Amino acid sequence: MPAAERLAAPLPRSPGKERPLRFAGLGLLVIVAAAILAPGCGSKRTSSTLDPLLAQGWQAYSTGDFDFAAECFRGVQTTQRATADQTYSAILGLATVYHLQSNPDFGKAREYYALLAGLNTENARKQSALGLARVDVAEGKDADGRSKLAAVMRDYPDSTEADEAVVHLAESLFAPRADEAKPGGFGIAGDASMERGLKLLEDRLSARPRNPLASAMHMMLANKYIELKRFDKALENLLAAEKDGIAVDRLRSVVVWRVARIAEQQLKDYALAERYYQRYVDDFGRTVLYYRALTSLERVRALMGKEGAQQGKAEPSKGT
Amino acid sequence: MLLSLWQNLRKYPALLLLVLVFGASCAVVAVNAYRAAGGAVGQGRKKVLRIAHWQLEQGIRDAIDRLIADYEKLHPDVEVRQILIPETGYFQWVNTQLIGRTAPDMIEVGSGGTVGWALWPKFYARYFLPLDRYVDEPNPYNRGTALEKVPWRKTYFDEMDGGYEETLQSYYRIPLSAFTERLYYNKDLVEKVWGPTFPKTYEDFLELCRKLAEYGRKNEKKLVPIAGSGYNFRQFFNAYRTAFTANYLDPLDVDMDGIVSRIESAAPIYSGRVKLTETPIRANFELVRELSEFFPQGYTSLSRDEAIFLFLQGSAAMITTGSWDYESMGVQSEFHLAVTEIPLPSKSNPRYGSYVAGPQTEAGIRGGFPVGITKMSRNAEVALDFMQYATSLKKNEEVNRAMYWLPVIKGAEPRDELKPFAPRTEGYSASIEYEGPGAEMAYAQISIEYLSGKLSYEEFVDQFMQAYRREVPAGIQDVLRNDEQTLNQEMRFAAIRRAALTGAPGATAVATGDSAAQYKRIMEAYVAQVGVRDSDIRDWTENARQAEQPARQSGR
Amino acid sequence: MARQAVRLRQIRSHWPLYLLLLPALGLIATFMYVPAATGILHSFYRWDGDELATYIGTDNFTKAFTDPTIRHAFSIVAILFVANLFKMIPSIITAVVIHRVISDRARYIYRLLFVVPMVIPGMVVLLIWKFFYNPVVGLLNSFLTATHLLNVLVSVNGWLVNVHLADKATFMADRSPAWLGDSSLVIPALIFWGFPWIGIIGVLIYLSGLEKIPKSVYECAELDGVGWFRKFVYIELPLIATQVRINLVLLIIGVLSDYGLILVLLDSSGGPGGAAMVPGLYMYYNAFVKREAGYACAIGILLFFIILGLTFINNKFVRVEK
Repeated sequence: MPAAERLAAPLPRSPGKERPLRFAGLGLLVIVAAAILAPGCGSKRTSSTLDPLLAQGWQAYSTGDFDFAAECFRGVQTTQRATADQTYSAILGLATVYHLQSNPDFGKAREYYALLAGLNTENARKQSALGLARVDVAEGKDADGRSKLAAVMRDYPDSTEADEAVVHLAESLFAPRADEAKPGGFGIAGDASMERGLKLLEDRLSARPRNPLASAMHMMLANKYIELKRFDKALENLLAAEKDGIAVDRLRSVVVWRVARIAEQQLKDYALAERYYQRYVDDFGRTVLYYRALTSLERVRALMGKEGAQQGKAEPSKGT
Repeated sequence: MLLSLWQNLRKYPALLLLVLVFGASCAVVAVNAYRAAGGAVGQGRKKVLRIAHWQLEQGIRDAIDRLIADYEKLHPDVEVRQILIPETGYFQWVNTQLIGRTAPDMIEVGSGGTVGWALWPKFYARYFLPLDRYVDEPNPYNRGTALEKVPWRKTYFDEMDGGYEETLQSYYRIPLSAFTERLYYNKDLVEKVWGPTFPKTYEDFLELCRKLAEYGRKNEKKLVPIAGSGYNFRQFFNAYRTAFTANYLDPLDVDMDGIVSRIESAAPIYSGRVKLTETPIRANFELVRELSEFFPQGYTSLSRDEAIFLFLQGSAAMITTGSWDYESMGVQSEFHLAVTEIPLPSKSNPRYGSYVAGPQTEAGIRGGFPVGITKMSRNAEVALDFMQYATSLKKNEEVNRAMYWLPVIKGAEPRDELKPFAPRTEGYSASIEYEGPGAEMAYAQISIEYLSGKLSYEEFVDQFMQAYRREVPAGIQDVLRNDEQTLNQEMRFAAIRRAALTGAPGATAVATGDSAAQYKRIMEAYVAQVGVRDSDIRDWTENARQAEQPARQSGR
Repeated sequence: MARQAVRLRQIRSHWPLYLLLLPALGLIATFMYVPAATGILHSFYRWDGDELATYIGTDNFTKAFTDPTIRHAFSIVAILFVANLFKMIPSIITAVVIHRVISDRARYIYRLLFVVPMVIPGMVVLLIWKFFYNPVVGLLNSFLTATHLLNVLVSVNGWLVNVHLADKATFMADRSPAWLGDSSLVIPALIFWGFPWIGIIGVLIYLSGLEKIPKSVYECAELDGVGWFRKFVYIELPLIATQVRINLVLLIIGVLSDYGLILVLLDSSGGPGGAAMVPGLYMYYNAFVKREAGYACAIGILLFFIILGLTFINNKFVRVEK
């Protein structure tokens, strides 16, 4: 019989030979199935009750495990027995995951933010409005995004969401735009846009001077004024941020340094510069700028001494 | 039936082998998993903790063994075991242990090069215990000391900054030691050739190098004054780069935050506002070129181990390295070892003196030898207790004195021999980064050609600037893309805090601490980062426009 | 023999055999085909090697075609390829010499002596060579100094500079050459690496081909008065042409894709002046140092097509006549 025909023909049935081969094949099937399934047995188990499931979802979201987070949230969202709060948490979770994951899915984010609005609670409506606005901005739909952010400010004027909307709206007005066609090419925000953003922040701070984001808003204004080389306004906002209380130590050191530097180099207010360099030396001895602050303090004191001496010369002597 | 099955199976040895090997693998995995869960092998019914690290030197192992012995005396129901893994394979080993959920309770974190740098934050998030709720409580093992009521993180010299993971805004690491870098030298040889006092200025240092080279030639010894390598050379270069570029802070720090960012440094070089042919920058390179005459030929291709080998063999008189090498070099060298600072040009040096600001500051250094506690540990609370013991005032001083390393706890004293390694707070930071985003490879390749004498300084600048103008624009875009990711990360944290503030179930459980205060912190950090980004882009755009104008004018 | 179609009922009756094949096929698919497929996919993305991936079309390929580093890398590879072609010769000669040893026992002993060094791990060999090239204490420089060959090199180099055949002096009196630290010496060092270039695997492959030559052929040649050289050229070489062709294909693939040697001896930036930057190393640099894994994938795809093309040319034009 030719080789090809021998291969094509079924195996001869010889007693005792066929069964071990089938046994081997079956055994292998069992081993392979066990090897595939076993690792999955010890892996993430979702909880049967909803609050722990939501906690798992938020935990997974906070650690970057977005797929699992979405799975947990969907598990709650699709169940009939969820309470209104639980449904809110689940839908908010889904919207946030799709909005802020590494490769965002803005379409789904928009869908879930819109679903939030249908929940008819104040919190849900605020989160929905803010989320939809931010998704538009993230997608580059600036005009839509900005008008939606303005709507959040208008509809919920005394809320933290409105404070955050102000920050994002100002950011959008200030933001440069990358020119993807030209490597390293950017378009800087125009003067009108900058002025609008500055006014927006200042108006908000006038209306709500003690809002939770006041220090952040003051720092944002200071950043912009430094960029625009308007150092007097920058100083005003830096001092206001410090007065409001800056929670991040590192940023507090930056604010103190900036006040000292602007006072010394731009405004020639050596007394203020001396006070702030001294504060830097006292409070931030572990930073890389510590020694520069120390030498700057000496320099400013020398300048103050010189100034004082010159003023003494300029004024007519009272004795004559 | 079993007998007939066995008789049938014997006819298929390959299948039998497959089944046996699979069975053996399952057994090994089961035993490892059982051990990893802290079971068996320990004596009696003790809780078993495992700590893994890559510090293979004998002194380190012994010091940690003594620490463990003292802890076990205090806690007889606990057994702690060290697992030592070589550094070269450490990251891969940790990776597989974490994914396989068989990781030890405590792991030294942070290795793995650029890949590791990107992946460790993900590891922390998924596999390590956040320590925020513990760091603001006093360390119980500081009872009876001046640090008794001080929160754990504030007992650190850096307030546990070395343990804080910025991208996750939480504490994940527990540093055990601190490290600085200095110039080590062969005291016997230097005294023979120069005298008892090591040179304090660069001019005298250069003269010492010449005398050492001459000594080697006269005595027909293979002797290079400085054991350079690609790794060790960087320490010299950074010390001089800081000294020569520190005074560029004011002209380059456009946003006045006291730091010259990568883009603030690159933009003026790109536009030519800062030229590499300016005297201080040229002086920096020429000084290093002058000094590299006293390194081995082709030192950039030598590895760190080869440089250390040369020094310990007596074929080199000096080497720069960190305090981590002090003990092992002391044991291996047959000469007296001494440590000093890298000498800078004096102010009276006619060539370099007027450009030198001062030494490099070490005020911002952070604790090292960081250890994390894995979430999969069955005795996480005990592991935490052990780490608090290791970072108590008394024990941290003891263990670091035994390891010949610097302690991290305030008030803990290092060995007298290590006092020269105490962090230097009076100094400056460098204000120019020559590489430029995207031009790192070109810089690495072309600067070596200049330093080895193959290119003149003008040729080096010309070739490097060509590569700079070609690569940096795309590099800037990459830097900004990475910044966007950080901003996105901040917003993720803000979202979870907002969810907690609005009472979303689940979010309140996960977002521990005062959500309102954390939300404020996050937004402040976000706004600060946006400010830096916007200022950098404006600075870059203005400089790029300036760079294009001469090109347009010349019709290019 | 006519090809027969496999019928479904035959698969059903032979199912244990096909089932036994599945694990091996699965492993090959998982560890070879799936990574290759994701590599092709990611070459169209800006990918950091982890989660972040933005679709950018053929931008990576456009960048690769205009990247001067890649052009330089291929020029280095061309030099190394030509050098490696010549480095095949010692293996062939060694195999022929061993084959011609009359005593079977002696032939066996020589084969053993050549094979035993294979137990040394490749990484150890690389590190020994790195030490060999050490400018201060390395064996090569010690040998050159002790035998005064370094002075000869200095004189020759000086003469070349004087007659304008060389730009600059590479060898200088009282200066140890930096074989891995001087951009002019890196390529010669990489070519010299592995001296005396007797690849054991190659020797064994050629020996297996030579052993198939019937003794009667040699006897006829003896009778016709054919000398040793003509025996080599007209009998042995043609009859091992298949093995030579296989080794040539492996050489093409190895030279174009390999970079481990350069990474260990030098660094990820290709050594001083990027003198030894090869495409494989550039791919590694982009993937693991710059974290532009998408661009690295595009370079990999480019390399794949070049290797495929060269292999095709090799198979078409390197004739094997029996």
